[in-house]
Amino acid sequence: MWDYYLAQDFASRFIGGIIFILLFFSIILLIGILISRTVTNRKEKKQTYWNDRFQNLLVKILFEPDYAKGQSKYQKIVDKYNARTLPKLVRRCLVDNMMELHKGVSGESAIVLQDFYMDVNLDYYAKVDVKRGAWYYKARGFRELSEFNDKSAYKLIVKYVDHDNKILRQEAQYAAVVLKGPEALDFVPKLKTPISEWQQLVLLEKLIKFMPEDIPNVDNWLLSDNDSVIIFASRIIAHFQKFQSGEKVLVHVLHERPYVAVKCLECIKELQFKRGCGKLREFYPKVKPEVQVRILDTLSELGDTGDLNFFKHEIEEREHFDIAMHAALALRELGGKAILKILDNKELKFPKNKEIVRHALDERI
Amino acid sequence: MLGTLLMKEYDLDTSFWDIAVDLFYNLLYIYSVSIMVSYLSLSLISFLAVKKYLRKNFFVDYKDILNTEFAPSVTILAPAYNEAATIIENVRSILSIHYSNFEVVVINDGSKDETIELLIEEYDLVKVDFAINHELPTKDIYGVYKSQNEAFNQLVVVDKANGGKSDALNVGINIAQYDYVTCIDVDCVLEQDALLKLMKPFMDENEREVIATGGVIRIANSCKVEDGRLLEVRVPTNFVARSQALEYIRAFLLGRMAWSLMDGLILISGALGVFSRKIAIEVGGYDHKTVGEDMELVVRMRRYMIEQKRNYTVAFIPDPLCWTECPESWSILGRQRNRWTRGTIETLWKHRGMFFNPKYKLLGMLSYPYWFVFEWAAPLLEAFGLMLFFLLALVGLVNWSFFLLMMLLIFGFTVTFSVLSLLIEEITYHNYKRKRDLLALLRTGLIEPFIYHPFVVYSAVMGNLDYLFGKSSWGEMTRKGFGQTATGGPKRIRVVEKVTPVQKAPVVKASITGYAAAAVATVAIFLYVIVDLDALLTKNKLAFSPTLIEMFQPKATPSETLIKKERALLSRSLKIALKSTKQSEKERELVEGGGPTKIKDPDSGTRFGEYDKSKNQPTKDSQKPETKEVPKKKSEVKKDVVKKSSSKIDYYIIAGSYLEYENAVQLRDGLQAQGFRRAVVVQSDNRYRVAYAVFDTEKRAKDYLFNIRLNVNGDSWLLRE
Repeated sequence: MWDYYLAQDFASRFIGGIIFILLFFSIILLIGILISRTVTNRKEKKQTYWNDRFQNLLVKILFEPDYAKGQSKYQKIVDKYNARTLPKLVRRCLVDNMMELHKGVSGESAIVLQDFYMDVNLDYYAKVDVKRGAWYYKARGFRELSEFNDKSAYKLIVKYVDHDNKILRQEAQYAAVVLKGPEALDFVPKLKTPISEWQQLVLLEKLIKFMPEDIPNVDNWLLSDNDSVIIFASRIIAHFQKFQSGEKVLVHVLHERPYVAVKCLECIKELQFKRGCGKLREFYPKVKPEVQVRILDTLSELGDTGDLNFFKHEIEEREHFDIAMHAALALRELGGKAILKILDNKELKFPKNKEIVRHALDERI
Repeated sequence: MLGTLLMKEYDLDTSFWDIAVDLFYNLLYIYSVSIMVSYLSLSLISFLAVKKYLRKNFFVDYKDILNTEFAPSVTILAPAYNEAATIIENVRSILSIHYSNFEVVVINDGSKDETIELLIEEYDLVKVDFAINHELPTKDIYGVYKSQNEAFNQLVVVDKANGGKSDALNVGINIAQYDYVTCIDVDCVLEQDALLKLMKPFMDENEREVIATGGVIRIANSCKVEDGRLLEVRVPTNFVARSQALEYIRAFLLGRMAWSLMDGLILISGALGVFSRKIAIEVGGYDHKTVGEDMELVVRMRRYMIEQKRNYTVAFIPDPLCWTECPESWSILGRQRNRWTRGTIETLWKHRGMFFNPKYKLLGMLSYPYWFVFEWAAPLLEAFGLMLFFLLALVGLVNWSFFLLMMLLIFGFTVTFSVLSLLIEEITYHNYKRKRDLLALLRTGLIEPFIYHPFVVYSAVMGNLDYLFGKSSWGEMTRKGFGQTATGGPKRIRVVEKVTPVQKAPVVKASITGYAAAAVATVAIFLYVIVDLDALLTKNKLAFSPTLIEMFQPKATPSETLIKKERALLSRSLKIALKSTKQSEKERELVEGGGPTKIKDPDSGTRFGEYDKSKNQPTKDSQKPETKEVPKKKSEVKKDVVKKSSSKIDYYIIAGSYLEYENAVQLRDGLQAQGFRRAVVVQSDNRYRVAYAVFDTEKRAKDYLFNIRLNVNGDSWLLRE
């Protein structure tokens, strides 16, 4: 066979060789599929089995007095499921089940789960992951330790809040906030890396449960060179109604990046910072159209009847669709329907704006 | 090198013509090998990219964004043409998608059927004086409609003159009031968290401006779809559809993800994609003149961003987000592929200035040339190879042993590539859980190169010819809908056309050109593999039919997993309770006291009860020991007892779950005060759950749940016992 192969010309040998490699590769891939499927199925089976078991177990620990901490049955379970004796898969199953359950409970039940987590030494493995694991193991460890409120891990975690790896730093920031609450936010003004919009929402979701007085003063964040920090600060100010910071947020309406200005205007609106209306009118001619639209939007909520003529003027004199539209809607909001009706019956400089006036007059929209 | 080696066969008197032909064939040979290498490289890059994506998103809790008021607002654009049969369900499904801030703009593109009338009637629409900013030129708009029902205030319906999908989408972009627009085909089944996943890149990218995101499209034929939800993934039973399923896996899992990682992706499927509205308007919106409008728009947006020297990216989500019905007949498939080819040519021709233009960086130096050389040219070269083969065969110049060797090579590569894609699918998403599904796909991988692929090549060649002769229509498309495929196996839409499989690949060679002719054959056959990816470049945007969305994705959200556990818990406790009832009547406790209350049920599928508040005792026939609910009228109670003893399944629409009984009662009272007179408290273990109502048919329960989620509380859930 080999002699026959060698007797062929180069091209045939070349192609034959590739065919052999492909054949070999295909067989390897097929075996790979088989192995992958077998492993996955076995894993799923095992997971199903252990999930059922752990769910029952955790429910018992949570709700049955016989299994309360200190009772002999509890101790038996702790001994039986000590993490150091469990295979990796089973340990992951236990952690995953506990995390799922922990997310859905609070108060006493949460504490019971946290205690159990520590009692069975699961925290040990999470800390090992944080110390020595690859970035995704570290990130998983952050999530786990913060979920079970292991405050001793805070120091380990906080080192990563400005890490180059985006996921790692996001998880570390999240874990820090979960563990220490608003106090942990000290890292924010020092960040060299931006906080993505997504991350801001994730952190805000965790902060929401705190009272406004627990939230630190974020005024100095507004001076940051990091635009994302300014936006995050404005969101915190808006959500926790930190009215005293309104003036400082207002300054950013003139920010060189319209996006930052728009986010700060959203904050002003949310704050109901009526005192800023004068400044907004002053800034209006100096900013880009997309920011002007937001100012009109903000004035429609915070302004007063004194602004009606300003809105009317914008409808009559501006061709920009969004500006005219928002001016018309602001007129409607502030009780300027009569003016809208007048405009409707009047010849306008820009005929398109008449459609806008009718749009604003149609209350079904 | 090959050329030199091959030339050794010829004597020094070989003519210039012989050398030229030999060189040509050797170039083709190299071309073929480069295709193989490029495909394998893309596969490897894709696999790494998917793994990286999965690791990065392992921790993401999409509920964070779902619940927040700060989530960016999105306008969902749904063009509809002659969709009367399914439009009501489809729009309802879109309205139920999991996202916090969105509006839905349905654009009736001059349908000839009753699409608009049905929408007006069902959603209580009225024509309004809606001012439209015509930033993108479009056909006439007959009217804009808004619903008078508060529950549908996110819905805007536009009635316009027929102008094609591009025109309809441009109208939608004009009307959209939010910064991001999502373009979807109304007849696809979307994963419920599709929008959340697609929006994440826009919010998670700091340095670069994300201008668009796309998601993976998968084939839904033969999958179990119910009420717009994908219940079980199955491999299509129809061969044509199954071949496409394999093709889609190869294209999306092994192709686009790699391009995305290299930031060279130039196609986002029209069936599902999110775009920055601002950029889409700045570049002039969808092009009316092309039939490949989705690819053309992305290319134009990228080109624009580069010309503007703006730092940008196009993101891609490898998770299967959208399930679509693909053609099951050869004729429809042929029309579809013909159109995709024309769309590709139109786009490439329109942006020919980018070809190897360093100004456009990766886009000009790699993406565009790749498309040109490996995607557009591939079927043409393959067809050329076939013709040459027949010609050589006719004059007896084919070296048959070499031909067979080449055939084996090409076939081997094609199969290897398919198996590789299945392995990656298996390792990453493991969608096809049934063993027979996997075997069916493997079988298809063996057969497809001889039947399906030649047809696709033929359609692509016809597309080229049609383009040359100026054909620009979409061609009529028909889908049978998910309803029919759900459980009943394959029912063909149309009679399958008889297709004569193109003869096996071309191959070659005879005396003079030595192995050269074999190279053409190699190209031809290698291209078998290649055109697959290309085909999907232009995704699917047929005007098919049915169902949509709204589905659970239990794994995605922890709270839903928790709900699952709660269900299991409740189920267990109910069983225990039923046992214990036999032992002790005392255990049947009523939830609270008060005067006897009778609740009238207008809905025959719902069960109600009555109880005596003053005595704080159950009426004698009250049943469901631990599931404490309002007892029934005597006549009804009897019926219920029978139901229970006959182990009939009950469906509870749960509003909330509490550890404290008082809290549950408070919620129940609140619900009753709001008009939910069927609200009951259900107890299991130490938890008290409040149900809006109890049903004995799943369909009624689901309908009710849908309305509750849409109008009252999106977090309500269905408990099956």
